[in-house]
Amino acid sequence: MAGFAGKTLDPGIVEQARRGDIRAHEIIYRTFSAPVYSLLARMTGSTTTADDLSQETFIEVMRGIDRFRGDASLATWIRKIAVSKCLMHMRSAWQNRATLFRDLGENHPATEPRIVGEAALTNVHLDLERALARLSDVSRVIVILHDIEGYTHREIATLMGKSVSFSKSQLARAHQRLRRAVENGAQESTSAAEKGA
Amino acid sequence: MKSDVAELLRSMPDLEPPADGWRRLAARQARLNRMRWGVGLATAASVIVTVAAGFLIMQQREFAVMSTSPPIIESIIVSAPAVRPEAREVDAQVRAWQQRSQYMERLLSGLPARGRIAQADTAGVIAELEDRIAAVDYQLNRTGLNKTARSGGGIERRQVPVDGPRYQPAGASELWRRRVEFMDQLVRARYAETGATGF
Repeated sequence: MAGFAGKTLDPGIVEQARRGDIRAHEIIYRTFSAPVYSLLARMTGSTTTADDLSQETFIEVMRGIDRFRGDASLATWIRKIAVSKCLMHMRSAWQNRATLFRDLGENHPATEPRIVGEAALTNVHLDLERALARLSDVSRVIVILHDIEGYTHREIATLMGKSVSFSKSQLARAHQRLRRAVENGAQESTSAAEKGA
Repeated sequence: MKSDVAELLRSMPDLEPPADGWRRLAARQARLNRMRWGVGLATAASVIVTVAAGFLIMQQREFAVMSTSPPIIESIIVSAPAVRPEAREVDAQVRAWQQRSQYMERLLSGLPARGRIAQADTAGVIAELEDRIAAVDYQLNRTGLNKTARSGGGIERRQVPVDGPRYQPAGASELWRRRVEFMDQLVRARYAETGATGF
């Protein structure tokens, strides 16, 4: 199963990690590295930044595992750290990134992420990935937090320091763009298939 | 109503993180742990150096004071008082201990006022020493060997009467010696405390 959903670990592993057991740390990393990396790559639109932030996320997870009380699941706790790291990064680099991409005449750098289990790869997912990368930073973050991670508009508004209506309107606009991208992709695929035939 | 796009987004597979992610993470964590140890050791070393330097400075000042004191002081510092000497010698020894105690009081009052934040173990040692000094002062007062006066601290600070009684009972020398010993420890503890809290 993709994402954080369904990712659980034996409480004994968490206990070992609290005691500083490096093998327990590795198990936690291997269990959650793909969802953390996917979340960060999709939020930032950059695999390089996602890799850096992913490392920082797990450093904090391993340092702060003592603070994890088990009120929520380990997956939820790790995701919260990753989202927080990402938003902090985006806030600090927001202005610079905006200026850089405006100067380069493009919205976002091209990313060529590899998918876990190539069999799961479909054209519609590729179209979606590309369309996501072309959204603005704010819209993309809202789409991912709301649609993929299940955050409410109120939670997103709090995290981003915006209003609930702002979150809703950004999401609606982003959905329109994504839907159009998927439809265009489908039309292109059909045309290509017809030409081939 | 959930959007069809949202459904598609949720069905997107995970992206593959870089294969060497764990190796880099483990190396980075090990490096951070080493750095944390290094910072801890450096802090401990700097505290030790500060305290040692402080003691050296105090010793030098002490030496300067002693070298300008009457010859009898030097003899007391070099050799501890004997157990039951002649009354005249006892008197001289008591006066020497009194002067030394007075000097320690000056050192103590020269240190900055204690902050509200203190390390629990150091604060405990200081409180214990102050209690011991107060107990010695009580014995000195009870036997009428000296006058005491408060000087603002938590303990009764002795105003040493340099021109005190000509002859002191033999027990006085031992009490004053103990007072000086506790004062010396108190000054060291207070100096360590001010060093540790960033003085």
